[in-house]
Amino acid sequence: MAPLPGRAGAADLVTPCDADGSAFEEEIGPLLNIATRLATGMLLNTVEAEDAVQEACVRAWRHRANRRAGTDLRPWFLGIVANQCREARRGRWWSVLRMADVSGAAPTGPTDLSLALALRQALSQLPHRRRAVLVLRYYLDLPLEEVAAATGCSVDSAKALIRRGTADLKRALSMPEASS
Amino acid sequence: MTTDDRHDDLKARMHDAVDPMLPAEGFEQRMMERFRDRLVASPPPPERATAAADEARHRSSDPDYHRRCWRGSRYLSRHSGRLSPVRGPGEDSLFQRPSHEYPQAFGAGDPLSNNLASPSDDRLRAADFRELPNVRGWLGSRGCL
Repeated sequence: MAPLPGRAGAADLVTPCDADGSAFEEEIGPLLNIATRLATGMLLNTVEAEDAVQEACVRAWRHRANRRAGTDLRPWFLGIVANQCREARRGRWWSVLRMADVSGAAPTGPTDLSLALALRQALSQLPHRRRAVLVLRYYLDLPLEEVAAATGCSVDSAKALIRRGTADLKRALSMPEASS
Repeated sequence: MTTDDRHDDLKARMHDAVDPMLPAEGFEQRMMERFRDRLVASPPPPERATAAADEARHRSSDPDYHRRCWRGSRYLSRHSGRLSPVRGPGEDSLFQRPSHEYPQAFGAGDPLSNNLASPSDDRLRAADFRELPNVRGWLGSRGCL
C-alpha cells in the first residue's frame, strides 16, 4: 500500500527519531535522579527502584512518539515510572520476596529510626495512586499541576488524593495531618 | 502547628524515611549504560511503536482522510448518518451494501431526502434505485407507485 501524501513520522514532532537514542538520552538524563527518587519512594527498595526506572526508560523511548507536542517531559516520564512501579508491585515475585522486607536500609538518625520505619510501613500499605501523589508532592516537592499530570488526573482529584493519603498516614502514624 | 508546618514536617519525615534507600552516587551513569546496552541488545521497533500515533496524527491533520480511506468513510456514515460517496474495495455500487445498512444510509425513514453526501451522484439516480425494497415500500406507502 502506497503511503498517503503528507505522511511523516510522528516522532519527529517531539523527539528526533534517532535510531541509537542519543537525543533521547540527553532529554531523559537529567530526569533520572528524580525518577529514581520517585521509584524508591514508591517501591521502598533500591534494587527494584533501579530496575523500574530502567524499564521506564525503555518504555518511554518506545512510546516517545505518543507524547503530545508542547507537553512537559518531566510529568510524562514520571507517569511512566509510577506505572512501572505499580506493575512491579503486581508481579508475583514482589509478594514472594518483598512482604518481609519493608524496612530496607536503616535510616541514619537513631532518633528517627522508628518513625522512618513506621512511615515506610504506612507508605507501603497505601493504594498506588495515593502513595504516588504523596511521594510526588511531599518527597519530590512537585507543584500540584505536575502531580496531577504525572498521575493522569485533574488538579482537584490530585488534591483529594493527597488529602486522603495524608489522612491514611495520620491514622497509621498518629501524626498531625498535613493538608495541601 | 500551622498547615505549612505540618507540610514541612511530613516532607522532612519522607526524606528521613526514603533518602537512606537511594542508590549510591553515580547511578545515573550506570543507568544510562544499561539503557544503551538494552537498545543495542534488543532495539525496539520504532515503526511499530509509532504506527498508531502516526495514523492518528495523519487522520487529524488531513481533512480529506475520511473521503479517501474506506474505513474512515464507514466511520463517517456510521456516526453522522450520512452516506459517504466513497465506495469500499469490491463495492462499486451503493446497492451492493447489505440490506441492514440501507435505513441508516438513507437517513431517518426518508430515502429521497437530501441526507445524502453526494446528491448529484449519478449512481443514486439509477433506475433501479426505486426498486430497492425499502424505497419501494416507502414510495408505495405514499401512493407514489
